[in-house]
Amino acid sequence: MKHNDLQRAHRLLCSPFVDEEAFRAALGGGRGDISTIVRYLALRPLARPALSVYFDREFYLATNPDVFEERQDPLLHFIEIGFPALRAPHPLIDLTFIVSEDPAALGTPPDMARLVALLEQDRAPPSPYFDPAWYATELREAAPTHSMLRHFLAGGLAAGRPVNRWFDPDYYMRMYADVPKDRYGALRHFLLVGDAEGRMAGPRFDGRLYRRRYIDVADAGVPPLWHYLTNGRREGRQVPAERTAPLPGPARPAEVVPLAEPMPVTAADMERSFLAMRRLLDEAQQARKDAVQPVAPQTTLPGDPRAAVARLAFPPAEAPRLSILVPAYNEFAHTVGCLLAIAAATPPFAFEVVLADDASSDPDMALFAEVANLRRLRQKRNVGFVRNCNDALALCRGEYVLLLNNDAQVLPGALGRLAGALDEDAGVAAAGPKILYPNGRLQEAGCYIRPCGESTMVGLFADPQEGGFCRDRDVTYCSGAALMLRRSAIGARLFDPDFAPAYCEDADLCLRLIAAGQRVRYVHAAEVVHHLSVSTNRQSQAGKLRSIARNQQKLVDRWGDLLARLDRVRMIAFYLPQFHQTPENDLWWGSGFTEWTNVVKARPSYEGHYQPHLPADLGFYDLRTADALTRQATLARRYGIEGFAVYYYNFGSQRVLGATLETVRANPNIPFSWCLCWANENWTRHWDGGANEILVEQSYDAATLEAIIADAVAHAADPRYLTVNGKPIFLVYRPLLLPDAPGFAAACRAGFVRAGFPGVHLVYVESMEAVDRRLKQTDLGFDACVEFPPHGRAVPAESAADIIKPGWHGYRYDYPETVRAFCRRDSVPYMRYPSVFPSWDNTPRQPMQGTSFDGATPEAFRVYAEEKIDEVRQFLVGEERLLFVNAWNEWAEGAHLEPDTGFGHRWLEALRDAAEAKRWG
Amino acid sequence: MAVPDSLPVTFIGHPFAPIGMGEQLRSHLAAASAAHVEWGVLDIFRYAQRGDAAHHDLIGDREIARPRGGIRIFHVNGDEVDRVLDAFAARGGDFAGGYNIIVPAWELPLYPKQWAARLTKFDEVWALSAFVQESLATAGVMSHLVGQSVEVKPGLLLPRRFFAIRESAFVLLHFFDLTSYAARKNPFGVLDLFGRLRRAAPFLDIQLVLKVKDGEQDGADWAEALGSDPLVRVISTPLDSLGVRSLIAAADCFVSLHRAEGFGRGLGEAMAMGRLALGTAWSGNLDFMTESNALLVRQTQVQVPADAYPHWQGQTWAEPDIDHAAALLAPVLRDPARGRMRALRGQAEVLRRHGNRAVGLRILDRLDAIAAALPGRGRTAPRRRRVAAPTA
Repeated sequence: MKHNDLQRAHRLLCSPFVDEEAFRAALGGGRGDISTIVRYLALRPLARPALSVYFDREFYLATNPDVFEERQDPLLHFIEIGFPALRAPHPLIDLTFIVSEDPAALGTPPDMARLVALLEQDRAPPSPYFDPAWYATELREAAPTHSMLRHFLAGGLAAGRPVNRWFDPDYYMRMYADVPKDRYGALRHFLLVGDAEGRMAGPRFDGRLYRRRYIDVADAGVPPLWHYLTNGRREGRQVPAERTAPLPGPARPAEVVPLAEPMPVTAADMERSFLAMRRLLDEAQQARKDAVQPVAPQTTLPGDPRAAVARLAFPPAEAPRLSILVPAYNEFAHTVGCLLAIAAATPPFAFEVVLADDASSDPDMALFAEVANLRRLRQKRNVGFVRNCNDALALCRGEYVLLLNNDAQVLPGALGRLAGALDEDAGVAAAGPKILYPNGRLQEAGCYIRPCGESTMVGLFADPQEGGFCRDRDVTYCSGAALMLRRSAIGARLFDPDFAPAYCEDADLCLRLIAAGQRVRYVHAAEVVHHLSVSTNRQSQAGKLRSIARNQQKLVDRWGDLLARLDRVRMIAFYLPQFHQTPENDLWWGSGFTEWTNVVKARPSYEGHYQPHLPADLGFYDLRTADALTRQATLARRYGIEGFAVYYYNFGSQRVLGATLETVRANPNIPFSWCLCWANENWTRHWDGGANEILVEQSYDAATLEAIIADAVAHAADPRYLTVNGKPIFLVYRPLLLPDAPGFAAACRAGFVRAGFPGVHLVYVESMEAVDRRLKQTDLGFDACVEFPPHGRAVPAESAADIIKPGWHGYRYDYPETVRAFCRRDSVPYMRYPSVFPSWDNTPRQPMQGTSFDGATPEAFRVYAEEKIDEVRQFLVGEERLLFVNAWNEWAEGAHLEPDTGFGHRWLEALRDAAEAKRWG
Repeated sequence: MAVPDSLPVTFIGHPFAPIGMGEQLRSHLAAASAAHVEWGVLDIFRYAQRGDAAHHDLIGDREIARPRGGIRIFHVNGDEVDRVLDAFAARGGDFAGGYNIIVPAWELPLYPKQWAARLTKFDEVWALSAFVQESLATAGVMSHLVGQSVEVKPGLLLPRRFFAIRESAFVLLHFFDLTSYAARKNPFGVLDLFGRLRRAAPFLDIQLVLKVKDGEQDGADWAEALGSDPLVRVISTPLDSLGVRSLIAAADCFVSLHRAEGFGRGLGEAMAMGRLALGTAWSGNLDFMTESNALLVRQTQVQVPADAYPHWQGQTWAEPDIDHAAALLAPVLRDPARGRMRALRGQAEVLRRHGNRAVGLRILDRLDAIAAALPGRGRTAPRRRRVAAPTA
């Protein structure tokens, strides 16, 4: 034996891939002992012991003929050569799959320790066929704490535990004579051979049928179950399987389904649906909070505060720009910490610190008298927070005043950034920082006040690094714990003494500023840690809550109308005008074609599938008529919908479907408010905006773009056109198809300004390719984007469908789960308008290949809308408070608020109820 | 000054009863909670079924089994004082061992003298409306105006389809109680109004929904008599809190052409839910209804007819002007958006003045004042502050 071989074997066998226990058991000694290595090498390669549960020698040899031919040791080959090349060590460990799911999962180059950690700690599924999380759920109490795959391979499989929902080894053995008659052998056979051949994995998955239903899968030649598990499931594809219940004869003819019947309404069903959706969203919220891994900011409270005070000094300031007003009542150590943090912050301008001691009883508080250049107010008796601050304001000489609680600590840069926000914009009268808990969780990223006078701290307990909290924005108010004020804006008196001794005085101050036309701004890059003193005495806690209630009542008595106005959320629904004949559609689809043509033909694809949706109150309208438009607009208003985002089509040579808005513009009495959404995509035979079988192509030449901008400007001149802060709203449906989005945006802005508008509010739709690109609208030159559910977040329905339509091969999604997915997505560091969708189903357009959402109920929709209204309240302010709905009348996509025979006004009622539920609290 | 914990606050009455006295008590429970007043509640007779989930949500585990000392707030009527106090004693209650407040309901301008005498057993009387306060005063009873909350907790609402109400219609809703004296609620006035509206505009899409309080024979008779008219929907099955709030939300306008109301809770709740309210411009509902936040119907005062109501002698009540009611509704029916603007104002004003917190703070103010007047801050029995005896 060559020395080199021994060394190599030793090195490789010391890999974390090799199981130490298995090694000792097989070779009678540890890997450190060279004699055991010698013993190992003395065995014939194929007689060597199995040293890892994660390695299947036969599988490795079968899938790596080079190893077999060269008679190499398969295990050592894997460790040395196979692993870096991502060859699979085991049928259930697919390294290519792992890396395709998460390119960083194994590191670069691949690190064996990370693979072992991934497997042992169940960090990710090792194969599409095995999901450790699912396995753990399936085993319930019997599940081990970790290493699910090890558990499965070391005994679970033999004991009849399932590898996944679909594969059944016993069934597979029975079905096919050539399959080894042991469970592992059967599993390996299926993974190596059976799936690729389209065999039945079990009674619930027939690969042949799956291929027959999804021709693209057959064409791609991929194993059907592998396809389903990696892609099909996420796409909502349906597993063809034997029916669970025997049905009489062939599939039921669709014609027996009663049409135009109202859906049954029982209180119990509605309550169940409402509560279930609420619970799903509450759990999602809690899970998000639990998932936060806060990083505690660098702050220190002095170990020996007395000594620290002795060392403390502030620079002299003859003409300070900033006065830092620190009110204090005892809490000596915190106060020292607060002042030390200021001293360490050294803002880039002259400042002074005014300590307002509200007759503290702690004798140590007298020590502050010795601090150089600390201005100090000492109350003779305790006057309470409000009066103490008001008195101290008289001592403040700065142009800006930072109110800073004595249990707060500014982090480096905060003072300069807050002052910067005031410098930058003379309309901003107050600026508040990001306030953190000492443990690093977010305490407040600005606040909003509900009409009842209660306030909500934006982002409470969340991850302070989450996108939405990392954007400066106007807010209703920021807590007085740390609030920088423009002295000239607040007048002679800081807080209203009506609010003495304390609570809501800061909200009252901010509202006073807003009422005077000033703004309050949240400045995300300025950070302050707030220790929040905890009151332990129950009696004082009740007293505190009562004081808060009294002051909230005062706030409402004084600012009630302003609060209601500030909290208002406007709802805008996407609107499709394709409900009238056009020459183009007559030509392409036959004379008389409108959306209704497809809508009425739809039939249920599976048991419980709600189709067709047939219009109720508004009938089969023609959107060229003023009467239909008036009735639509009146209905929308009745349920609190502000207006419509109307799709606009301009293909350069032709404008299509413009008759609707022509009628609206010609009839100023129709209470129809709108903004345009340029649907910049090709029209195709498939209604998918794609590039196949194009009917008319979207062009982007200069003349077309110019015409589009001119049209938008002309529409915006109508007093009914929707605006944000005076700027007309203009949406673009597919921003990434614009050859030069920033150029278009700039041209748009110039066009509006030329026409005398203060600008344009440019919004793009997060549709199709724009979802989750983490695009910033500023990169595209836009002001905001708008969610476009269900695009981008749809969650497939996994329940089996009882298919009615012979040959149907569509996609099913789960409405409540999709709503949850949309509600738990991270906020973003730019302006994104939330949207909701009532339901979605394009069976009218794709009868055999439709996509539908199961479990959509008005009650779930209501909870969804409430959740999104709260999102609007958190991240948007004033006229930016818009909630979009997809859609008002997409009848052929099953997304319509307009009444149909099945649900009547229930979607509209649900939306109104959601808005009204938020009108006070 | 705050209410000390040594002085527990107990609401006593019919906390689970689906009647006005139960509603006013529950409204005080919600209000007290909003002002962070700790309370217990005692069901004095335990007659009522306890099937309403909303009641359990509100009361939770704060029901107490036996009377206790401290401040007791009785939500009972003058005519049931004796029975209630007997039951109180029978349950082991020491009436003299606490500070007793009564919150009586009453609907006519003169409070019955024989009931007023019973109120003198209490240390203090709270009035549910200015109207009740004035009525009590006519019997020489001094009271504190606390009012009641009309705030409705947001939650699931059942849609119009659940009640088989026309979704497209402008819906007028009226509540009345056949077991009580129907003349006071005046459902006939509402039918009259509806008839006029329809004669004026036969094809107008409006519907009248009558919620009849009791599912007894009278209600069924009513339903049958009106049953042939698809534009009048009579709902005579009993509804729980969810049903009632859903029904109010399902309406466009709550109508009460009452001849007298102690407070007018239905109107108030409808306004709190953002619905337009149309009501006679007289009695308790004027605490919260104004010309600008609701539709107030002119009225003239007339003698209460013999036996039209208990203690009718010498009393007057309102005769609402149905023509005026129709005239008020006409512009709203033409343009419902106008009604919604008015309703929005009404909602804001009602919730600010008659919401849980506003009423709770008025309760808290009284409790604080009572506690402040106690010698030794609640360690001994409260000083008696007897209600004035009725004038002869």
